[in-house]
Amino acid sequence: MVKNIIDTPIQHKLMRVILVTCSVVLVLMCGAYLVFEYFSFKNTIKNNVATLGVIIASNSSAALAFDTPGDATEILNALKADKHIVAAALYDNNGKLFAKYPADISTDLLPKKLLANGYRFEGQYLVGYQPVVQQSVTMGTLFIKSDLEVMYSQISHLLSIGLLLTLSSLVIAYLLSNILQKTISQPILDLEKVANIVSKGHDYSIRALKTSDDEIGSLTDAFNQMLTQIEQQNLAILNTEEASSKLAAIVESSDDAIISKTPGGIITSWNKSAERMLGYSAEEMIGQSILKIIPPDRQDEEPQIIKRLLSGERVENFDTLRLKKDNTLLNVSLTISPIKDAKGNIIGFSKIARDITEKKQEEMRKNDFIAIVSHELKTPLTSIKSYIQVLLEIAKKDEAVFSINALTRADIQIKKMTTLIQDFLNLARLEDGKMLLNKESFELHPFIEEIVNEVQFLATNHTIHFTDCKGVIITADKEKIGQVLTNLLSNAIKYSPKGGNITIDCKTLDNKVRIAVIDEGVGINKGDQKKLFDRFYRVKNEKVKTVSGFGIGLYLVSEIVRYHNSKIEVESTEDNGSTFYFDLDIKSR
Amino acid sequence: MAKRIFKAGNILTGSRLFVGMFAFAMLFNIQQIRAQNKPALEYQVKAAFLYNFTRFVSWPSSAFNSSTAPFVIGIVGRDPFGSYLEDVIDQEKVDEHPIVVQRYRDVKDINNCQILYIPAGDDDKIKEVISAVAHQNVLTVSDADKFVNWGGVISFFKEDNKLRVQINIAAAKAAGVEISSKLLKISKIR
Repeated sequence: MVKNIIDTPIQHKLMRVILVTCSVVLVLMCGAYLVFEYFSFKNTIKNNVATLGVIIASNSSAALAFDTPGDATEILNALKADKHIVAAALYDNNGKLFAKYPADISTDLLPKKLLANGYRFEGQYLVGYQPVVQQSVTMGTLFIKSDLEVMYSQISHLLSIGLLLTLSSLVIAYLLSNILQKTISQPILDLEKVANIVSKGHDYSIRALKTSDDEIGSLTDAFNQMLTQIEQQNLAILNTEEASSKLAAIVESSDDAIISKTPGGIITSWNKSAERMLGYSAEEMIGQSILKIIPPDRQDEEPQIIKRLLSGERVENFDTLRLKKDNTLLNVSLTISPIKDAKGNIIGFSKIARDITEKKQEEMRKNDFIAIVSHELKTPLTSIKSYIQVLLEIAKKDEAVFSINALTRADIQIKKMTTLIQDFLNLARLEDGKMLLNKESFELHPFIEEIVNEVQFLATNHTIHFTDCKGVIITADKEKIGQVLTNLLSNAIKYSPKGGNITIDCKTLDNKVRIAVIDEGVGINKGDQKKLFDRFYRVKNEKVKTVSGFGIGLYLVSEIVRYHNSKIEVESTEDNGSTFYFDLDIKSR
Repeated sequence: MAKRIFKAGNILTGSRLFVGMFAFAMLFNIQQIRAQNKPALEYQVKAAFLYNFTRFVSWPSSAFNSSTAPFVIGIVGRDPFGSYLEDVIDQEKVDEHPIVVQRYRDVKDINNCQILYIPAGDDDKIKEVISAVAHQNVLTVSDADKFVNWGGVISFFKEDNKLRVQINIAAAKAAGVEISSKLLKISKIR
């Protein structure tokens, strides 16, 4: 029942509210009027009967005084005029019945005993005791009894009038409310109609018509605004969908394998190129662990990469090997980026794998070529070097100044060339993974001093300072560390075009020694610093474009230092010089 | 309870008379009834009627010497009431006039009175009294049958063993007393 009322149309609700309100008000009014009338009627009847009582009593006094009950009866008979007087009687001063009305009424129906004077309602009757007084002398008492028919008939008359009025008022209220409710319900119904059209037809370009500035008007405005928003959002969704389908097409058509995975390493997408390169289909791989394509000896690579990514580092062009479905290995270069949600939380990683098999083969061929060329060059150079040294000794004996000068210069150039060839050979070995360390214990101070002297000999515009590190003995590949220092010093000279001071500093910290090469040269910008130790990387800068080189020096430096379980670091600001440093283990002091 | 309650009882015969008498006697305060002076029941009723007339008849103020002058009920000749009438009117007043009873031996003794009771007897004597008090605001009352015919105002008579009243309206008018219509209504009018 309650549910039915809730579910009825708003028009019915409004009409119901109006009608219920009207009914309650009308019923209350009629009720109040009836109650008022009831009491007022009672009072009127009381007054009427009392008046009648006073008249009859007054007229009866002589009859009582002169003992003429016949006359008294006759006087009482006058009450016939009022049909509602059902009984009356006169009593003398002793309470003895003197006369009665109607004459044939049984004395049982009359009071046996007189009660106090006055008029009162007893059940369905009004009963009165009126003293009969003649000139202040009481002659007896009149008893009078009236029914309340007149009151009841009047009340029921009023009740039926009230009912009739209520009903006709309700009919009028119904007709009026039927018309008036439309002022409230019509705009709501219109709005509902528009909402239905919109929701059924999915046409969000429709707008509801605002007809008033009340709450329904603002509801209409809000509804229209929502439609506008939906329209805009739909457009945005469409654009996004288009963009993402474009993106998907790009991903699918990419030559590189593009794989996405959860932070836990579960694969969530696998493009066509991934299928082609690694042999697994998307169905096979989505939901699988990324470890499936990582060779057993490189399984620890994954957590390290993730660690680097989580710390905010980018992983770009990370060359490694991956396992194909046929269990062969594939050379790939990986670029891995975190995938973030709108709040910036990492929800996964995207991995772009480029097939670098060909590149690797190319490099191998190049390395082989370099190794062969270097080796072939080294042999004649060694014999040239020994002849020149022999000739230099002879010239010194003969004190032939020009020859000494010329042969010394030739020896320097040969040393340079030897170093260069040594670098190429090291590079080739490094690439092949064939670089071996030949470690020995030696004192650092004289070793550095020797190198400084050699380099200073070539650098006439620059002053090399060397701070003392006497007594420090290290275990390292003496030749290769020598190459490192020679490289760093010659770089310092090369990139300090105006001359100036170069410092080689030596500091001991606990059981380590930090060797730093400090210059006052052009410096290196932040961007270049990152790539400085990459193979064949050369700083492109107007200031240093005249500086020659292959871009392998710092690569070798970093690799040699790395083979000594250390890391080459650089601190530099542009135009303010650079500091390169690395740490080595101290054997003893 | 009012001190005086007067209502005429039936004048009955035989054993019923006794019962009626007894009932009538009960109307009065026993203390005020002096047994030795109690007249016949008929006269007790008449005494009550005499008193009741004071309530249904009005006298002009000229009938009294002053506003507090006594209201006199006179009895001329033989007195049938004894002291009973005094008992009835004891302490009673008509307006501010205290009611007193005066007895006159003869016509010439009649003084200023408002009600004059003349017992039945010598008809000539009665007629003499009537003419003596005419135009003097006196309500004349008698038991004589033809009293009203002779010009008296009120006479008692018996009907069905009950005491009734007959009134001569012309005589009342001549006497200058006004009789209530209520009394007239229950009376026999000549």
